[in-house]
Amino acid sequence: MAMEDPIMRRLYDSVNWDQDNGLSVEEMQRGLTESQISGIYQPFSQETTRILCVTLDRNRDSKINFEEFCEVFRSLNGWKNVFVQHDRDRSGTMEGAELHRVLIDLGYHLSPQAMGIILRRYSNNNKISFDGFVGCCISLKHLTDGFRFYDKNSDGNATLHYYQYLHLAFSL
Amino acid sequence: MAFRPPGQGYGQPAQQYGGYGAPPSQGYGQPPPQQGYGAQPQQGYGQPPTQQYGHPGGYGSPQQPNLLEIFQRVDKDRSGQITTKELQEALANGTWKPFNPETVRLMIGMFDHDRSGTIGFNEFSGLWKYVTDWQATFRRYDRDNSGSIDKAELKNALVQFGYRLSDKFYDLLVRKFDRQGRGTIAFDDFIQCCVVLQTLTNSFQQHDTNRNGWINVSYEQFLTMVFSVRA
Repeated sequence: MAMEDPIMRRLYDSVNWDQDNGLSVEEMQRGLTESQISGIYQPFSQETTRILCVTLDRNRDSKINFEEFCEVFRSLNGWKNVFVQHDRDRSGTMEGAELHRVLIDLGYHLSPQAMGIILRRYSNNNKISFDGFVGCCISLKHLTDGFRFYDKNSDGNATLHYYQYLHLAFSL
Repeated sequence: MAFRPPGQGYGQPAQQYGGYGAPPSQGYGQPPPQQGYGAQPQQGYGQPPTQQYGHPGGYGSPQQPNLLEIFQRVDKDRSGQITTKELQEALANGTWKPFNPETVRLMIGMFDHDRSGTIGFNEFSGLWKYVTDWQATFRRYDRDNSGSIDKAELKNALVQFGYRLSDKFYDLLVRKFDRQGRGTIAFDDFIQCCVVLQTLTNSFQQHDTNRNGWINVSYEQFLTMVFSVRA
């Protein structure tokens, strides 16, 4: 049986204020902020926290238990490696052009228009924070997978009913 | 287009969304006036709720509350421009937590006509009317005066706005927009929910030219539609 990571356990317990069987989004956000994974004194964005909780709440009980908590951090550390490789000047933020490069590496070939929309959404003065980067990548993957589901003959076009479209748009 | 909180629904019931299985005179909402996102709302949207409710309290006379005074109260550093942060601090959502920053950004985006990133006094009257109209709308649909809108109240509001959505979808909306974690929706989250829903619906309608409830879109078009809500 795998040993629990005591650092993770301590962090988890310290933010689980109501001592129940899992973390709420708010408690999760506190944990992510305390871990300083997005940078020193950087609060972790609530929006990205919510997206992480939605996608990694494996047993769908709307709470993040300790196992899921560890998985969130494993996932974030993976993203962190990618982010750090592209944050050439070690500023803690990524530039728009760097994000574009990362997305290309991840297999997304987006037009300048689409990239512009994504940057408007996730960047501040053309700078993207780590939690913004994570939010962007997870959202993009989720929406792309969703789109593919409706792209029945894989030609890059999908037919969607209004309800399907709303469900997809609101699924994160 | 600034999504104006509607009075009785959106005005003419024109859109025939037969593809939904809904009775033809109802659709999922009326198309917005054909304007860019930052334009002043049109009359075609239905009467602003304040006309039915009298003036929102606390702001002086309904005709011209002293807008300059309000502006100056919000513009704390007296720079002559209201920033996202100042607007966020001036607005209340009924809890002690800060006003939803996404909602603040949305509203600034709607009324920041010169794209300066801030709101000057000339842009402020539209913005403030927008906020007070939403306050009136929120109060109207918060039937039990709890200070937040529960699923049933949300359903009632959106049905009045012209939407026909499934019961489960309302669960989804509450889960997604309830930032307080109480299972109900506070004022700032209510605005965000309605505006996002309307923006997504507008984008859909632009592609649904024959109004049958179906669209065929490319991947890029789809991404643009979905990511633009928070632009």
